[in-house]
Amino acid sequence: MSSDRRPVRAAILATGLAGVLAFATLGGAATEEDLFRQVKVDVFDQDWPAVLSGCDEILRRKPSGQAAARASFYRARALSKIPGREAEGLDAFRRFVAAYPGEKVMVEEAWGGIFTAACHPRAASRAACGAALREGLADSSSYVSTLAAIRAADSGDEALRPRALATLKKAYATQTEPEIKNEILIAILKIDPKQVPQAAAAPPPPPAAPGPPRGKPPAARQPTLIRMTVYNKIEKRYDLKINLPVAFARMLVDSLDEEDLQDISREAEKKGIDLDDIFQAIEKNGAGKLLEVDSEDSHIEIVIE
Amino acid sequence: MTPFGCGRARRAMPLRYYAALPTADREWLDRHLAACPACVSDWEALRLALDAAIPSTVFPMEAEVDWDRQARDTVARARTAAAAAPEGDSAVPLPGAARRPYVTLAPAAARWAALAAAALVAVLLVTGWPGRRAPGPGDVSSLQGPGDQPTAESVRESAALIETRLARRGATRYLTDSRVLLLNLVQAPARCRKADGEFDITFEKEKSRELLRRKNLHEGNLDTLRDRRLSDLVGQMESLLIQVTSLGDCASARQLHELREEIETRQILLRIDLFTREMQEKTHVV
Repeated sequence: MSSDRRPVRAAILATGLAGVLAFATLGGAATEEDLFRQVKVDVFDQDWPAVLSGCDEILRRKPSGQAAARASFYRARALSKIPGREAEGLDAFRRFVAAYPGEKVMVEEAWGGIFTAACHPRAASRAACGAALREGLADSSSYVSTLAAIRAADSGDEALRPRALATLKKAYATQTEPEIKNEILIAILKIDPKQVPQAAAAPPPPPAAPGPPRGKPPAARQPTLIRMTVYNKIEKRYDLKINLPVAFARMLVDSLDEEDLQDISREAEKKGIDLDDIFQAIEKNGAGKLLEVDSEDSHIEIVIE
Repeated sequence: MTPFGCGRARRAMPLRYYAALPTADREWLDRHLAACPACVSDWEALRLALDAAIPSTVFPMEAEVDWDRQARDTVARARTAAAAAPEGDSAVPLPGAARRPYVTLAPAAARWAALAAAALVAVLLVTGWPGRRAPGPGDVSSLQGPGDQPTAESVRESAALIETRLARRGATRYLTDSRVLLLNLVQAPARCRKADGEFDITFEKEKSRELLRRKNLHEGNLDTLRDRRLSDLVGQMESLLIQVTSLGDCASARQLHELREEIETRQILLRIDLFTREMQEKTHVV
């Protein structure tokens, strides 16, 4: 009797064991969420091969799952960071932009990735850079076209420059974020210094005081150029030697090292110059030496012409 | 005090230091510290350690490097090598090159003469042409004569120089602003009107997008060795900010908790603090 039941028991046991194993396998498998959490850790660690394999796994399991967009994005980022696979990264970013137009923020990031990968000094061809920038300039997003125009200022593609310049001028007129505005101005300067908007240089002259006309005032030349030098006395060399249209006065001051800025602010205060309103100071002082600071370590000069 | 209480307290301490704990958690921690001498001792040790964590103590070797000099030396070495190498000679020999290099065909005396000339050119390139006095302080006229307009090339060079300097400052500001944003997000976000138990993060999402846009401007301007650590951190912030923008306008407590855990695990606040500590007063630190 018992020997008759043995096969049945064995079958029940085998079935039960198979069930337990199947449950354990299913339950133990990393979910999409677990996988993506690991991808995020790998992105932080900049372990790009691990990011790539994690994203590939997510996309293989659930190509249209919740994490698919971000996995596609980070897959492209990983490829663009792995030496020798940058071109694949460029393609992957392009595919991302085409596949997820609704992911506005990541699409903007992807465009940044496209420009960087295509125009990197080690990129395979210059033509790819020109093509990517041209495409970016034509994009309907004003941010993407502005970014493309800023990058175009650094590219050697002369044909792109007029188009980039037009985009930059338009963006400069509408942009409110100071940091982006500065970058636009620098890009315009790189393309054609004569095109730097003069409105950025100085406020309009104050209206004439009421009263009887005093005759025509002598034609004073508007300051157009700011020259700044920071001489390192210890190393006997220039730390900074800059020659720019006066529109960049504010940026020049902002670009100074903290220590130099403190020195120059002190000197400016002594001379009654308000560095926060440097354009007014330039207007008031006219051409000539605006500031000169001589410390133990350095000698700073700002000259207006 | 249960061990669980002490463990939780220790995990919360770094966030407490950076004022990143929600009010309820901070109050809980303060109560715990009031009753637990062991945790008070840990808290004091942590505070001292984080107070001392400035770039020069955490990355002591980095402070010893004169990056400008290093860049100049590298350029000088490259120029010397380029000048010393005969025209068309590549550092890496072309595979299967059948022709003998020109140098081996020239007699030894001619080779020495060529090398000496190349070395002279390299020295002149680095130190300047004889008779041209190295400009001293205050010699602004050496940039251009008064009334002269700068050449397009010199303007472009100046533009590139100022761009790199602004990129460094811009990236630091980006990190500071990101830090404020993350603190706002994990501390006490506003309750969502649409759904109970969730938090309105519309403002933080918009701000994250703005920060990402600003970050893209500096791409490529922080490629030097000197800026490596800054550039890495800027890149790492990207994934956190993208994560914020990908949340719904009403985020759940669980999502915010996850974000807080990531910030804590990756020591984001400490890393940002290392960069910004020298730039501003430590008003945000308790």
